[in-house]
Amino acid sequence: MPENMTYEEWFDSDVLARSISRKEANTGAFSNLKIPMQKRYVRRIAEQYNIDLSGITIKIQRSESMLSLTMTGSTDYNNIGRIDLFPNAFIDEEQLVKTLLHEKRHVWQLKTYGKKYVEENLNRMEEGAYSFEDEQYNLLKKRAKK
Amino acid sequence: MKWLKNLENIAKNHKSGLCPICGSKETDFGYSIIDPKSRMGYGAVWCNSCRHAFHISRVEVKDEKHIKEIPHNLIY
Ligand SMILES: [Zn+2]
Repeated sequence: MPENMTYEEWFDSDVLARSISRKEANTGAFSNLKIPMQKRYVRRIAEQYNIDLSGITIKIQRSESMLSLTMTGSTDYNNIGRIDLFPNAFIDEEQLVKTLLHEKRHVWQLKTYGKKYVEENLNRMEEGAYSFEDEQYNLLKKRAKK
Repeated sequence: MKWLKNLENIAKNHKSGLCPICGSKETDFGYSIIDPKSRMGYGAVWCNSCRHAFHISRVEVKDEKHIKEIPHNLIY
């Protein structure tokens, strides 16, 4: 394992993917999710849609029970820049892209307005993030690389 | 993620469990809808004792019973 990588980065890296033959599709309870729950796919799709993930740390929560909770993402209010993706974000490309855009907008809000303001204006912040994801998705979808 | 167990509890048995910050049983959770057409919205799990909370940022709200006003003075 390279010294400058965490285990997780190494595990997700293309170097490892090429060196072992591993079934990539989601299995078991996750088999209905079209996008493999791996950071490599998150990065690949972000690149296709021209979504900049620099400064963003992504964590994938792979808890089976979370499938029934229908949440797709969350943004860390204290470790600003960290985004958590839940199994339902991987249902299809649209859900993943919209979740990335939505959570990225919250990161921007936290950086721009500060945590206190965001906490006190949750409704407005969410309205902003939902409008942002819709507008951006429609725009980026047309230009996405296939 | 401090509140993961609570989220799993909610998923399994609609109970938010013990507060991961102070250990209190006085926790609750709820959702608010932003887009009535898609039923997409947000939610929170919070502790009524210490006011710490977790923000659920993007969720399709299916749990009708828990659509409620999310308290304003929470610490995320
Ligand atoms: Zn507490």
